[in-house]
Amino acid sequence: MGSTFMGLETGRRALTTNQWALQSTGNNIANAGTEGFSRQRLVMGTTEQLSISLGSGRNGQVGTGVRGEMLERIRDVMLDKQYRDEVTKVSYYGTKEAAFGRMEDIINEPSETGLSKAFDGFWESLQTLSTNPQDSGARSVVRQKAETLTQTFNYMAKAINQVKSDLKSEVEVSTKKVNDLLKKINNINVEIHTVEPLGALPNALYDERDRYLDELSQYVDFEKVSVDAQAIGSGEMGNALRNAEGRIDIELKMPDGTKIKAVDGKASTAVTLRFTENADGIYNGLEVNGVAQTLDKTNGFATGRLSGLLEMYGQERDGKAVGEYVKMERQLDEMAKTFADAFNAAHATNLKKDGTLGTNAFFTSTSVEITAATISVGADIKASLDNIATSTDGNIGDSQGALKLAKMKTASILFTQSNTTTTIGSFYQNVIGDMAVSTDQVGRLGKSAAVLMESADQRRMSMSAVSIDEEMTMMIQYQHAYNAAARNITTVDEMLDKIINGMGLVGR
Amino acid sequence: MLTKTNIGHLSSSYQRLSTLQEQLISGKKIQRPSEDPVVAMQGVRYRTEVREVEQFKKNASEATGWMDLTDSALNEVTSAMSRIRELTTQAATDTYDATQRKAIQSEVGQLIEHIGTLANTKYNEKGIFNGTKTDTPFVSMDGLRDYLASTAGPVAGVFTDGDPTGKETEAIQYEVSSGIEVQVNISPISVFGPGTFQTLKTVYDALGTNADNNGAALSGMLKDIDAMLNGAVETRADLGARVNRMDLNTSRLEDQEIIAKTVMSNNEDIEAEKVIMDLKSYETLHRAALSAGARIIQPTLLDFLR
Repeated sequence: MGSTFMGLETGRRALTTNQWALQSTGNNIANAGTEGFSRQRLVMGTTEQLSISLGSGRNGQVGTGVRGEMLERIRDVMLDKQYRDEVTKVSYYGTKEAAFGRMEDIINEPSETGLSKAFDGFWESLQTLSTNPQDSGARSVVRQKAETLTQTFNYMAKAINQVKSDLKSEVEVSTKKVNDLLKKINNINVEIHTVEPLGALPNALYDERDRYLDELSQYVDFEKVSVDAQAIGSGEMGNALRNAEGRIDIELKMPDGTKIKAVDGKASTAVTLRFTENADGIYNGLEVNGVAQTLDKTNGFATGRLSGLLEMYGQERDGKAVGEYVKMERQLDEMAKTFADAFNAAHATNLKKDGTLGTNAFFTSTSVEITAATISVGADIKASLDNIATSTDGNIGDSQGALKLAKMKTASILFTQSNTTTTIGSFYQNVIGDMAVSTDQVGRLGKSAAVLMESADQRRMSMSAVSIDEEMTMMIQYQHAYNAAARNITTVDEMLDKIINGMGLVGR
Repeated sequence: MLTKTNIGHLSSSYQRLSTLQEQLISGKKIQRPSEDPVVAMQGVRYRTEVREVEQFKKNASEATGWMDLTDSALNEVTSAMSRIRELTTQAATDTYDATQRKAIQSEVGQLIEHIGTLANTKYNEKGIFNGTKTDTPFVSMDGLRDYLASTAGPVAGVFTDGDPTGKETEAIQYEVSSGIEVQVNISPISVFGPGTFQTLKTVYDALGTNADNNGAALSGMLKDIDAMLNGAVETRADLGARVNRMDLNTSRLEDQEIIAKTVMSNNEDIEAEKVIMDLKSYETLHRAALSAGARIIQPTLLDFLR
């Protein structure tokens, strides 16, 4: 037999539970715009059934109301994983695309200001000189155009170097950010572990941790491993609920297939990463907590944005510096040196006005080696226009020498490093072509990864994001349930009133 | 979620519009090499080609100018020589006495000096009849006068260099088309060589001889004068052929320029009408996306609850 006041208690439970449900709906609506928030739902369950006698020897079980089992967040771990995998790719390609974009801005072809225009101008001035070898105006134009050419080389080398150092500081900042995120994730692990055994679900902490994991996925590829799953399942972790997520390990995936434990859930530790560099400032390895890692560096030593940055900036592979910017620098240097050497050699066989041989330093270096950054017009040429040697017979009117110089435009020369024999113009075209194709490819891959990321994000959002319509519907449902429970209490109250105040007054 | 999808679509739509707008404003298909690597690479090559043709046109016009001046100088030389022949023929008649011949001699002397001046013709500050030694005159005018005045001084004195068969005969070549070089100057020897001046000196001296009847001697010189004249005419004919070649070359360069520019334009310039059509159709799509967005985002259940 149930208590007289049982109906009141059932009603009270319904009121309280629905009130909490409404509270969680309110919380969802309030956080509709919060980044990384997963909607929460109060899971309701029935309270214990009561065995009662229905009379005539019949027994039944009657319900005693409702209670909130737990406040769980709606989230799918698999969708998170898919999303993060794509984010890693998108930020890898995005980083490369942005860096390539800056390279394209510097190379700036086809245009009216690029290196090929400077070369064209130089060859043209030599052609003009070949028709007017005695004209000091034509000589002066050659010198000017040579200056323009060397300055264009210098500018490009400087700008490339500038972006390179920007990329380097970006690597430093990103590494710092990764270290910071690892620390934060570790701290949240600790907090989660203090709450879970008490039997509650720290949803806000889970959300926060997932937010950090989302962020981390931009920088590196990693695996998230739950370390408490077994303990939670077998009930060894206090009162922890079975959907408690527990602490996690973060294992960074290296390109060579090895993994580095960056956050250790059980030991509550997070590591500090640092990329080591060689004497030229090129990255050549990874240090974890100050200990150098033995990694197969064939494919670099990072993933995600970090990998993108390293691949653009330059890293050591098989003992050689590899990287798009390093490559571009090398190609420009090779072009400047090969051109200067070949031109100087040709110039040195020409005769000057006074019948002596021309200088073999028409182009020289402001340092030791001729590179794109150091190429400059030689001191002799700067000193006197007459030092431009244009003849083969020593006479002022002979322009065979100048013509020979002008014809170097179409002459094939050996580019030793690239091991190709071609004209300067087509060498440069290849450089541009290579760059353009790489940029295009990176952009294309980035775009398709972005589409996948977008769809993963949508699936994730349709799972976890707050829909105002849905919350409204739930709100109406809870409100009606609350109202109905109140009505139920009123009914019970009226029943009791009848019993207490209205019974036993026969004949009054 | 709808909002995010919408923003995504709108921003990609904006991007497309901005690409088209950039194309329309710049008139170029691509702004960066990566947008179309092939167009970019070809673009660099075609531009170089166009500039090369333009430069060759400049070279060709320089060469033509040089040759035209050479031609007109040679024309004058020929007429001066013809006049000398005329005067010689006239003087060969023995009706002319010594005084009259002296008068003719002085006119011939002037004509010889004129030929000397013509040998020093300059184009653009360059002596055109002096091989690669364009900075010095071919004929020393003082030397020429001394030579005429002397009894039989060596002809070498006429030339600035003494021996005019060295650098003075060297060719000056201009590149007027890819790989094609044209000699713009002529060798001065056949026109202004020692032979010419020796013949002229002989005629001059014969006219000055104080004899009343050396008509026969003068008549004998006519064939030397003819040989000299022929030399000049032959040289001029040779030059004329070369000028013809230059003309052909120039018109070919014009064609090349048009072709190179067309190819360049086909490669990198937009077809305005196509881009405008694209822009219009994308604009319509963009408007549709905007209005659809506005419809979807606005209402929620909240709007219909009292």
